[in-house]
Amino acid sequence: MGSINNILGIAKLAMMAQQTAIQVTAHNIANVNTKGYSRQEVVFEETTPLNWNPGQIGTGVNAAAILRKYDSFIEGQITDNRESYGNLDIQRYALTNIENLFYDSYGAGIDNLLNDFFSAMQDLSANPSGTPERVALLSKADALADAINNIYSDLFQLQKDMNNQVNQTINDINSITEQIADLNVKISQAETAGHNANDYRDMRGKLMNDLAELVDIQYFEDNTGQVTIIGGGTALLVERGNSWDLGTEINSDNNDYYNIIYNPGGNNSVDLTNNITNGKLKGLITIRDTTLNEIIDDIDRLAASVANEINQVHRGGFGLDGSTDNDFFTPSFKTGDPVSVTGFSTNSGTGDVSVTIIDPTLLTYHNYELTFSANGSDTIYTITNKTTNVSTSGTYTTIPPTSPTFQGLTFNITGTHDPGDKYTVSAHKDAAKNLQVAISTDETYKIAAAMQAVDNGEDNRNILTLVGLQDKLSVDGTSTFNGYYSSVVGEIGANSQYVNNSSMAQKFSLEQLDNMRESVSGVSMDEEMANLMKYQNAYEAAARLITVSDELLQTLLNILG
Amino acid sequence: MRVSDKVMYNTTTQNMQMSLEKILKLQENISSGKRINHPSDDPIGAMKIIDYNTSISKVEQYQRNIGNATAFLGVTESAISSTQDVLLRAKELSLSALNETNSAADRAIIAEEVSELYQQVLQTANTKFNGRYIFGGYNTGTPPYDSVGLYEGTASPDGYIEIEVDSGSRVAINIPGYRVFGSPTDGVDILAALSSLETALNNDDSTGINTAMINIDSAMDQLNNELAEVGAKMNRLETSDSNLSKLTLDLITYKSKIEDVDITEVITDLAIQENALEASRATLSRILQQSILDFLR
Repeated sequence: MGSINNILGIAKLAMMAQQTAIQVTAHNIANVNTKGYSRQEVVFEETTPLNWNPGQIGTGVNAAAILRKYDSFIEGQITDNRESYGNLDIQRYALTNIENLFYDSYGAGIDNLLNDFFSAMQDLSANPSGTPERVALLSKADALADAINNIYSDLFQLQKDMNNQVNQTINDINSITEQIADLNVKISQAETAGHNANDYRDMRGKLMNDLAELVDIQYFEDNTGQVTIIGGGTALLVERGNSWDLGTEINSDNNDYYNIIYNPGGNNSVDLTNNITNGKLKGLITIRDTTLNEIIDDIDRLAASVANEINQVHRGGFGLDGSTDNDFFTPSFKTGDPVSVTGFSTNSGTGDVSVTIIDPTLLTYHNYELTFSANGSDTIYTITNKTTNVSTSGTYTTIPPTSPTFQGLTFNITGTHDPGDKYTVSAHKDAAKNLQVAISTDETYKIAAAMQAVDNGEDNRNILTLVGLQDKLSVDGTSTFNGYYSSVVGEIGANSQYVNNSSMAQKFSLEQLDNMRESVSGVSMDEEMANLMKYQNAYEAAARLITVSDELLQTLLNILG
Repeated sequence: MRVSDKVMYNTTTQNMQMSLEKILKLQENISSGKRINHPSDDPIGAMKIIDYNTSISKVEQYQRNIGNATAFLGVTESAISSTQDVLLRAKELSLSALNETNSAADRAIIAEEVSELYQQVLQTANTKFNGRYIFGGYNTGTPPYDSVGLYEGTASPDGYIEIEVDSGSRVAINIPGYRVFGSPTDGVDILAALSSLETALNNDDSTGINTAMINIDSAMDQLNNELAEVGAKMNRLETSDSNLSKLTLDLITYKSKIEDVDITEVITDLAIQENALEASRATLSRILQQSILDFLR
């Protein structure tokens, strides 16, 4: 037999359950625009029935759980996609900047300035003593040198910017991992107590996606609901409530740019720079250490070949004042000029290496590596051209002094050098930074148009040889100046096009995945409003139950009264 | 597929964004008139444009060089032909001087005119063009022929000012004075010939006059040869110039094919994208305006 009290109890439970559902609906509506939010749903459950006559009778409803609608497969795909997107997006940004430095559809690029420079020489060849022609040539040369200097400084600025962003990104990563560790604890506390930590999980999911955009991660969830995250292939970033920071360290072998280090115990620092395979961090490192270094090397090579080739011919001619052996550009690339030598920070030898130009006509504008190794008690030096891999080696002795000559350069080695010591040598390094016209505008008479020292006002034979350099395959013996520049532009363009296309494709697939996620987890107002009405009706009906129960009781009381 | 509010909103905004990106690109193409505005638009095309620009700049420069050469040679040509007139007159005068009816006094009068002719030739030999002595070879500082008619310009065989009229192909824009007016060591020294004619006339020396006349004859041959050479050079330059003009036109056409937009195509594309954008906007405004709340009263 039922009891009126039981009816009241059922009504109370029903009202409470529907109220919970309305509250969850309200939470859903409120979070319709929250990024990373998964809609929640109340699971209703019948309460335990009573064994009664004529049989088991229900005792009402209970809001058993609040679940979040969520597809872990899609979430995993989004994480993977965010890694590649982060990597490609920063590269796209950088390459767009770079390619616009190198190409100007309005005709003010380096290629046009090179053409103008040679045209000015042609004009001078038609009137070798003309002051206006000489002044024009110097101003065209200045414009060319300035443009090359500007490209260099813009590239260098971008490289520094990438480096600063490495530091910022590391800070962002550390802040995110700290928050994830914090959420780990909250989730585990809630879930061991038997509650679904829906909102905490949403927040953690969003943070993990943000983290993936910055660095490649692997992660798994343990049986307490806490995630363990490994970043950059090897570094444990989060485990349970603990997080470990990534750090930066200045690398003196890489222009004092930041290395990424991981030092969890505080006494065993691991260099992760080359272990990072994806995410914004990888994009920044790729642009900073590969793309920009190659492009700066290219523009240095162009500047060095222009300066060296023009100077060689120019030094052989005579100015209107009869002066000769004058440089047209600095750096001069003369016999005896020192070139850039950089010792590695790991070198243990105390000796010294200096390299000078012995024959400007043999310079290759390649980078060289000088290494030392042991052969019994002897120290062996090896000089390698890093472009062609051609090398020369010999035994290093202090008496007689060792000064091998290789591809136009003399290597003067002194002092002690230990096996494993390394030096990089480059004749063209920083040429783009330092390129300048060596003749001032009040010394136009120094421009060596002539091949004879006196009575040479109309002698244009040297200028004609200089003009011929426009068609000479001066760069690496394979390209003209302009041909080389055009191949650099083509390379940058192709790289930029590839990254643009990949990043667009990645963005598109990320949007698709986001839509799939929102399709499962997103809030639909129509649905929520329908639910709201459903729960409201149920709540009203339950309230009516109380009225009815009350009336039933009144009836009984009236009989008694 | 379940459609949540965000799916609806994201899809429409993403579509609008895509249309807008394409429209921006098309606008850039239309406003610049160029299909390639960044190397990544077409890396190979960008390389070709740079190569074409270099070729065009070179060809235009060759044409400017030809212009300079033609002007210089033109002045040379008129200098030579005016000298020819002078020598013709000198020959006429010496012929009439040889006439037996002329007295020594008559010959002295003729000698005066020959002296004038000498000055005229000297002046022509020191012709200046844009402040440059055209017959001085490399030497522009001093007149190539001094007051006594001695050649002081660049000595044989040097003194040719060459300029490029095509890649690796050079033409001398001048003829050194020693080739035209001669010098004590090269060809017929025209000034010396006139000077000796004057002396012979003054001395009433018919053998001298005869010798001078023979010299003037060979001088005229010398001038004819040089004039022919100048003419041939100018012809060659004219042919080169018209070839280069055609080449420039061809190069500009090739470059334009790679670089310039097909405006009809771009405008059509733009119209298509505008329609797409308009449709997306219309959808967004109609769908998002509607809400279940409008029906719950």
